[in-house]
Amino acid sequence: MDNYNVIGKPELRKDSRDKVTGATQYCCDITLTGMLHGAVYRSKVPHGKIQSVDVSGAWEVEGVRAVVTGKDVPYRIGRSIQDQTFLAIDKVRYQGEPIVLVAADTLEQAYEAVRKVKVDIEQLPAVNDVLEAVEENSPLVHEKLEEYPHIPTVRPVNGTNIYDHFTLRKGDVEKGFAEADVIVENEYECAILHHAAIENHMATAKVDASGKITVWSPAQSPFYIRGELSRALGIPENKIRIIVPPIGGGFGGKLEPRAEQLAIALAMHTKGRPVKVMFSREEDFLAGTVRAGVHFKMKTGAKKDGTIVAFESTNYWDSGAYSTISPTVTLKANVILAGPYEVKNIKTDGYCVATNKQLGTAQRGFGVAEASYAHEQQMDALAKALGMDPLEIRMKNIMVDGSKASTGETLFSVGVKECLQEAADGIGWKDHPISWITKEGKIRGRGLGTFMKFTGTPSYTSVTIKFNFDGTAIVSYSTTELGQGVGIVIPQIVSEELGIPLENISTVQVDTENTPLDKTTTSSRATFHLGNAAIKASADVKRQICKWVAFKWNTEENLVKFEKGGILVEVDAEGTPTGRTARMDQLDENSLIRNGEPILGYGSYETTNIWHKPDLETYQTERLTAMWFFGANAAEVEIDPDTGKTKVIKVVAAHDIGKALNPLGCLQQVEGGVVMGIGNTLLEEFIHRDGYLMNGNMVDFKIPTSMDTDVEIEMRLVESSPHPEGPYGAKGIGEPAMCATQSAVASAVEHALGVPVTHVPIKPETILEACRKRMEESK
Amino acid sequence: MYKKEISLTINNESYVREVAVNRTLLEFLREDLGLTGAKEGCNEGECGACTVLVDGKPVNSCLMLAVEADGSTILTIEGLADGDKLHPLQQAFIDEGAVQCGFCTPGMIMTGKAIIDEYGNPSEQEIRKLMEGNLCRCTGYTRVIKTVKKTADSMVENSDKK
Ligand code: FES
Ligand code: FES
Repeated sequence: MDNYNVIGKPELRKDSRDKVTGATQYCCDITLTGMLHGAVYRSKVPHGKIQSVDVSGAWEVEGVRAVVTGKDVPYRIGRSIQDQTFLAIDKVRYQGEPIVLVAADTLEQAYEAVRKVKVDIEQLPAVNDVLEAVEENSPLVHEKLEEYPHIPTVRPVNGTNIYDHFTLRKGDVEKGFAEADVIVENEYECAILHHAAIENHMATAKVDASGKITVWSPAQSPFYIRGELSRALGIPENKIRIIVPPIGGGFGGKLEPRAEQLAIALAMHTKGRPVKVMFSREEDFLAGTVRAGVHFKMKTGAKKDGTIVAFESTNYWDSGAYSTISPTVTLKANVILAGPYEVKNIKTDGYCVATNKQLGTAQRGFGVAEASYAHEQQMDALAKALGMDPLEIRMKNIMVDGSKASTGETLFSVGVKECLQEAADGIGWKDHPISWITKEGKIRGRGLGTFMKFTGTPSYTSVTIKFNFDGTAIVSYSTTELGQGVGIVIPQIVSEELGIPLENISTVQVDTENTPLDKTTTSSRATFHLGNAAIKASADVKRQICKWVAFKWNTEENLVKFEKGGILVEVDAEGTPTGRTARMDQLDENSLIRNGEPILGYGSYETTNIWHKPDLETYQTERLTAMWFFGANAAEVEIDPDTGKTKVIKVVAAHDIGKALNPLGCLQQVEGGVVMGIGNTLLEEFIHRDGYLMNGNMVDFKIPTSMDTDVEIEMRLVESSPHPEGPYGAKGIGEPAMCATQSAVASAVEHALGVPVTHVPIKPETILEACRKRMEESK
Repeated sequence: MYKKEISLTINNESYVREVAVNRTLLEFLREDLGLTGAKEGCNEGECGACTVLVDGKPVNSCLMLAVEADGSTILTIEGLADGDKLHPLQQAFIDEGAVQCGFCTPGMIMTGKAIIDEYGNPSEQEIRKLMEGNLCRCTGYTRVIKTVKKTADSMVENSDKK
């Protein structure tokens, strides 16, 4: 057993008291002096040419201070491809695209002015379907995709709707399939859905007379947004400040700049007055971002004994009207599309595709939950074709230390086999059939899901620690608090390292002007990267303190040792303690550092050196990532054959966590992740007709409520494969929490019904149809 | 817009204000009075983030007009604690880890309090039903429901002892 003081303990988060009393100031709660309210005229149609924009009526409304059109702010953003302007200029490409902005003294006046805007649009046929979008005669969303600047790793296909074509080639699939005894080939589809954080997108911006821009925004990754804006506006990074109040939920939905550029565009025209732009729920649905839809074609070949010998997939990601970060989603899903199974021959082609729909981007897991659903359906199909038990075929192929990933790299710290066993045990896999009918006539099924995922690399982050003379410390970093609990884990690490009590440690609001550089808050990377940086920053603090104490004790710096629990000990030249000691939290009382230099520790962690650039055609590399995550879920569902309604009875979530730094935090992530996964699998779906969103509101787009979630959730943390480079061996949990829920629930439904699940969410109609067959067969 | 004078008690303090007749109670609380604890999540009565108690009953304040609240007694999340002493439900949300991003939390707690006040000690299933109108995207609900249940249990127990 390790004997940490605070690491591994279920410490309570520090921000709860403010949150339960209503004292927390979220972005929407901040009002600035002289602040104006912004409103947005948005396209009512999904695709069309803008013929004219008439804003004269808007100017006539009392209280209007600024009206801005696309030509006033012709700046381009786009992380992969710079395909998006702040406002539509010549063309609109999705329903809800911003065209005109208004700032007024009150929100009502701003809305009133927006109603007076007249925009004439010549409608064009909308690209509604991802498979039609890649056909040769499809209308084009972007006529000249190739003319936009783009990053070198993204490969737009000229004259098509393809933002990017990702390719992975390992071994020789033809040869592999030739060796196979069985081949299963299927197609699967995941709907577009919404992150649906309870806090909508918003931003408040202010532009000083000197041109400096300050933005208050619930941005998940403020430095990413700062970089985008700096490039787009041609303004240096020190002149753009992004302040991030606590965030009301993100899940990937607050990664892209959405309201920020609109608030800035207005603030550039209001002579220093700040402008607040808040999305309504409807605007959030239309013009926030969504999880991209996807269509997978999958082909898997195996030997009689279950050994998988070849895997091939072509898949199409419905990334909507602008590319955002979606090529990365396509990439991440394709790399793990064969699942955490060792397969010698793999070929995948991932297409990231433009349509006239909402902007498809990342949701908690960057495509991994969708990929997991597809690869696990394939495993079940293989099991069926071979007459094997679904657990057995997974175990037969599961990765272990030393396995080769799809990238050709040799894996280490792989705990997925243990996870799969734990999940299966937790659901009682051995003790029940995979499907049966209850006394009440309901159909029960059990299923399994596994996943693997990698964290974005190269990456970087940094931490600074101000150590105060009273033994308290202020920790700064720029990974944002979305609710995931970074604000407790990092103080735990600093507390452990410095040996000062947890309550002596506070954290700083993320602000690009004051908190240190950080790449992004995505990819479940915070604990790993930031944790390492926090350990280094603590070491730096300790070094500085030792120096001061040595000075006061009149001894050599290297003769003051730092011991566990925050004790400083003087030793003699032989290393024997002299008996003189001091406590970290009493340095001031004992006049050991008073009047000293400021103690400011710094630590950074970056993963450039461990990363090997993959070959762009094959995606083969020596090492792709700082960290692979693994896990498995098992689920039991009950289906009512009369209504087609599916109820999830139990989910066992086993995670290869390395080391749980805060088990309560892990449990919270898993509970929330599992329920989100259930919602993704059974409820959530954007419905489009000709590019129009038919259910963009909370009534028609259902997310789980307390009534849908009476499910037993059991978490099993597997700590047998600590990560050698992780802080205390830790990996991450934020996204993994939901990556295998969708696949396990879909697998359980497939076993219950005896037919593959080819579309998620699984609709009651589909279930009813299959139930009818299942009941007939069992008669 | 036509305005009307209203007087009401909010968190034990009395207010007399002129308010536009189309202003919602949520706007009135947040923008006119600076009581920003209640949140806007949808403005259409679907998420419960804006829940406050009007004469003890939980109400989606985005759906109620401020003028309709004339003469009533309102409790918002800011008025729930007794000075420094948190309401048992607030304390339990902290202790049980029922808070993540916290955006839904004020609404959850107000609904939870109303349930405990009205039903004493309902079953977990009843609590689930009664909290159906409060959406949360972070916690998966179970911890929230259990926290309300546990608080109801202990409040009943404490009042039995008295
Ligand atoms: S804001 Fe009132 S119910 Fe959502
Ligand atoms: S805690 Fe984030 S929405 Fe409930």
